Parts: sequence; structure tokens; C-alpha cells
Amino acid sequence: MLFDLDNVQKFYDRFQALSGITLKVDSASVGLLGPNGAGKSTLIKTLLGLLPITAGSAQVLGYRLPEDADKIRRATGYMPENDCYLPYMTAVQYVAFSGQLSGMPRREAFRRAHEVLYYVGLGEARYRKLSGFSTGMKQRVKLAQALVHGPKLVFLDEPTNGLDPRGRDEMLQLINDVKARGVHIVLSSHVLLDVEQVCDTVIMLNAGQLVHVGPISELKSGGERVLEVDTHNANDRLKKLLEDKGYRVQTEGLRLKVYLDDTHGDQDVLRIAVDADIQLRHFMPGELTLETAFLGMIGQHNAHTDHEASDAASESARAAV
Amino acid sequence: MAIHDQNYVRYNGPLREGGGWWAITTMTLRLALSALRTKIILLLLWVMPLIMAVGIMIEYAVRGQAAQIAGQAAPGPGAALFFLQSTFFSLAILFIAAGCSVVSDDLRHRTFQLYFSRPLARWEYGLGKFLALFILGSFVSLVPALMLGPLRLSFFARTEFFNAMAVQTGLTLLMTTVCLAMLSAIVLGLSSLTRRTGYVVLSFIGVLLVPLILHAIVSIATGGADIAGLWSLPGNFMMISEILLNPEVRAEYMVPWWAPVLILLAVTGASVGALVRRIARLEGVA
Repeated sequence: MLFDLDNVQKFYDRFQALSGITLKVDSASVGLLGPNGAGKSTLIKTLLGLLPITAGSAQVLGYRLPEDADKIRRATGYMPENDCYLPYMTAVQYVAFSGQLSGMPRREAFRRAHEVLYYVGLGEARYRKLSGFSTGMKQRVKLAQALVHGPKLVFLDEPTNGLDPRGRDEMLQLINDVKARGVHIVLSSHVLLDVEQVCDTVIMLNAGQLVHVGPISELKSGGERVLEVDTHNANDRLKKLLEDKGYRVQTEGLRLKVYLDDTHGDQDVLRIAVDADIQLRHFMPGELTLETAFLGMIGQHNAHTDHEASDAASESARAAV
Repeated sequence: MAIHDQNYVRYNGPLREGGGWWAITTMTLRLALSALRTKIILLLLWVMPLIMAVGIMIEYAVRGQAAQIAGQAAPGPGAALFFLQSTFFSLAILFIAAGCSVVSDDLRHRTFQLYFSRPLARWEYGLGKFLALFILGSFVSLVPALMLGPLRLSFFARTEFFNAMAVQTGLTLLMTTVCLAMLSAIVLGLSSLTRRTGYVVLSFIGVLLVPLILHAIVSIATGGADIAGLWSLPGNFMMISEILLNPEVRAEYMVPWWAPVLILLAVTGASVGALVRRIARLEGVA
């Protein structure tokens, strides 16, 4: 089992950063999704044993937290989002040093540092100082230091940050190759397309709460179909009409995304438009991307949380009266 | 076409438990020694021990001549005290040039994320950095002491002063180690307070220089009373050294022997406390 979390809670003083996360994941690659402040970094820190859990229990790769935190860190690699190296170190020094910190013997660490730098495509630059590296090279060397000791699991925090399209493709290709070699991947990224290309499963967090955990395919299907609609200057009117009839509608660019479920069909949408004398210019089944699924889920979660909060407020007001 | 090496095989070898502190020590030391500035400073700071070595040989020759004219006099602690004083300032110069960035650079470049995402305990990081400074400093303190002490001792090997000289050499080695450990801890503590190495350098100079000025002022005001020594780090250090190496002086001192010891312990303790507090607050992953 990759992760087995049971009601994991984390408080910073009174602020609850993680509230009762319960999940079991045994997937080769997991995407960690959530808006800023959702608790992704806190979850990573917790899973690495760097932060004590306030309540609940957690296991990573079968090791229990907090007693096996060292074993977890020995079996995992971490690629941070931002730069974390001394610029006057050479690439090979940096990667070998990381290996030594994980417990590799010095000679072996240097030998492996050369190999892993060749693996990530930095063989020619391994004796260069890190201060002279481009953004793409820095991302690669960070990946190399995460892989040098042969971890079973690698946490990747925004690995494609600052990369041009070609560099991004190469990085994703590399990550997929790492995955193919039997290393579990946890990818935390804001670029959902990256997550889609690498991961089988997603963990979605919002405001410290678990919103969704499961395969990406399940999230994308979500029991809903999507219709892309465009009208002749009447998008807002059609949106209102559809929402009045109980449809979920999102404006995306110049088009409307209409979510269809079992009770609402595409013919019904067509009939509503015709009845209102609205001229349709585009009427096509759309693809529910991870991004739209993610935004939909977060929107639903926020609405649900707001609803609960207003219920609680009115309840307490009633009690006060 | 993949840009990465297709024949790469994952590492599956042994990973030992513990010992991360030694990796921190060796890497910090290697990086410090790779800087040209450090090499030049080390070379320059070796001039004084070499002059002292020549002085010891001259002392031996003069003593040999003097013994034929009128009997030999017992060797005083002057040479040892001079060595300790010069060692203190050599260490200060070395650490200003090459030691102040020891933790501040990690803070500035956020390398803690690398360290603490590995199986490395906080105390291992602190110990590793301390040992790196200690070993670096030993090149201009303990190594010369280990070279000059036995050299001087060997000249007195067949004389009646051998035992006294052995005690003096031992105490000098002890005080050299104390000085090295104390200054290493102070630099480490100051370096953990800020991410700007320039500020660390300034604060270290301040810690040495400002009390020295106060020392001089109090010394003038009191007509050279030993109490003035309590105002500065070298003053306290030299006071302890004199008390240990020259027991006759102890009786003449107004200041109790434990006062400078307490002051140095407090300064060193505060520095270690600052370091411990700082690294305990770092979470490792941004």
C-alpha cells in the first residue's frame, strides 16, 4: 500500500491545515491537486514525517508514522518546487551529497551521481557549477538528486515549473520513464494537463479537506456528459434559462459548457433554445477535461461548505433567539 | 527520441542508518577549502606558527649557550600565552574569511529542504556544521599546537624541566581546543541568525571588536586592573589561560577564576541555543 491514512488531522495552533483525511491509495502514480492553501504541502510534509500528525494515523509504503519517519525518508525522494542548492556546488557534488545524506557510501554515491545525471540528460554538464544552469537543467538536477539513492517513491513538486513546452514534454517523458522503472510517483502540480499525462490516480484537496480520491478516468467521467454551446449574442440569456431549468452551466471563453446528467438530455437543451428563439452557432458534445472536472468539484465543495456554514449560522441565530 | 539514458538501472544497494552528520561535515569542509580565499588565508595564517617554530629553535640554541655560562632558568609561560593569543586572532580571521557562511548560506539558498527531506536529524545537521568549522579552524590552531608543542617539549626532553614543560604543553593544547570550540560555536550561532553572510561577518567582528574597545576603556579607567579583561572575549580567554599556565598570577588576581569561565560558557551557550532554536523551527519542505 502506497498511502494508508486514517482521519489524519494537522493543526497549526488553532488553524486546521488538514481535517480528517482518510484514504487508501495503491497506485503507481498519484496526482496531488488543490488550489493554493489547500493543504498539499502540509500533506507532503506529513507524509515525509517532517510534521507531526495532530490526530489520526498514517502509513507510507507500509511504514508507520511517526516512528518510521527515517525509514520513509530513506525510501523516498523529494524534488522541491523551488531551488535548494548551494550555487557554487557542481551538479555531481550536489547529487552525490544527496545520496550520502540518504545513507549511500561516499564512493557509491559519486558513482551513482554520474549515472543518474546521465539518465536525466545532464551527463555533459555534471562538472559545471549549478549557478550557471538554466531553469530546465535545474529541474533535471533536482530530479536527479531525488532519484540517486533508488527510492521506491518520489514526491515531485511542480516539476515542470518555468519550463518551455519542449522542456516540459521532456520532463514529463522522463517522469513517465521513472514510473515505468517501478518507482511510485506523487506529482503535485497546478498544471492539470501534466497530472493527466503522468498519473493514474488523483488526490484532490480543498481547504484542508479531501474532496476526491480515485482514478482520473472516474473523475473525468463523473457520471456527467458535457455539451459545448455557442449562440448568436445570447449566451447569457441561454445560460439563465438553462440554470432556471436546473442545468449546471459554465461560461468558458466564448462558449457555454452545459453539464448533462440522466434527467437532462441534449435534445432538451436544443428545445429550450428553439423555444426562446435563440440562434445556435455551435452545439457539440464536449470533453470533460481534468481541469473542468477539478473546477467543478472544487466549486461543488465550496458551495457545500458555504451551505453548511450558513446552516450552522442560522441554527446558532435561532438558538440565540 | 528520449533525451535520457535508456540503460539506466535503479540503485538497489545498501543505505546505512545514521552518519548524515559526517556527510554534512565533509561537504561543508570541501566547499570551504575549494574557495581560493580560504586557501590564501590558511597560507598566510601559517606564517606565525612557522615564525614560532624558528623561535623555538633559537630559544633552544640560546639556552644551550646560556647553560654553559650560568645555570639554566625554568621556562616561563610567555611563549605558550603568546601562541594562544595569536591562535585566537588567527581563528577569528579565518572564520571571518571562510566560516561565517556556514549556516547562513543554507538559509539563503533553502538547502534545508534537501537536508531534512532525507533521513537527517536536526542535531546531526548542527553537529556536522560544528565539526566542519572545528576541523577548518584546527588547521590554524590545533595543527600548529600539535607541531610546536612536541617540538618544544623534545628540546626539554633531557632536562629537569621536562615535566613542567609537558604540563604546559598539555594545557596549551587544552586551551587551544577550548578556543577553537568556543569560536566555532559562536560563528555557528551568529550564522544561524540571518541569511545574509555579510551581516554574520559584521556581527562576528562586532562581537570581537566592540567588547575589545570596552576592554581598553575599562583598562585605562582602572589603571590596567584585571577586571577589564572580563569585558572582551580574548580578555576572558587569556585570563583563564594565564590562571592555568601561571599559578603565581592566580593569587594576584582580583577577579575569581570562575568569572571568565562563566562568561565564556554563557556566550558559547547562547550561540548554541540560537542555532538549536533556528534549526528546530525549520520544517524542511517549503
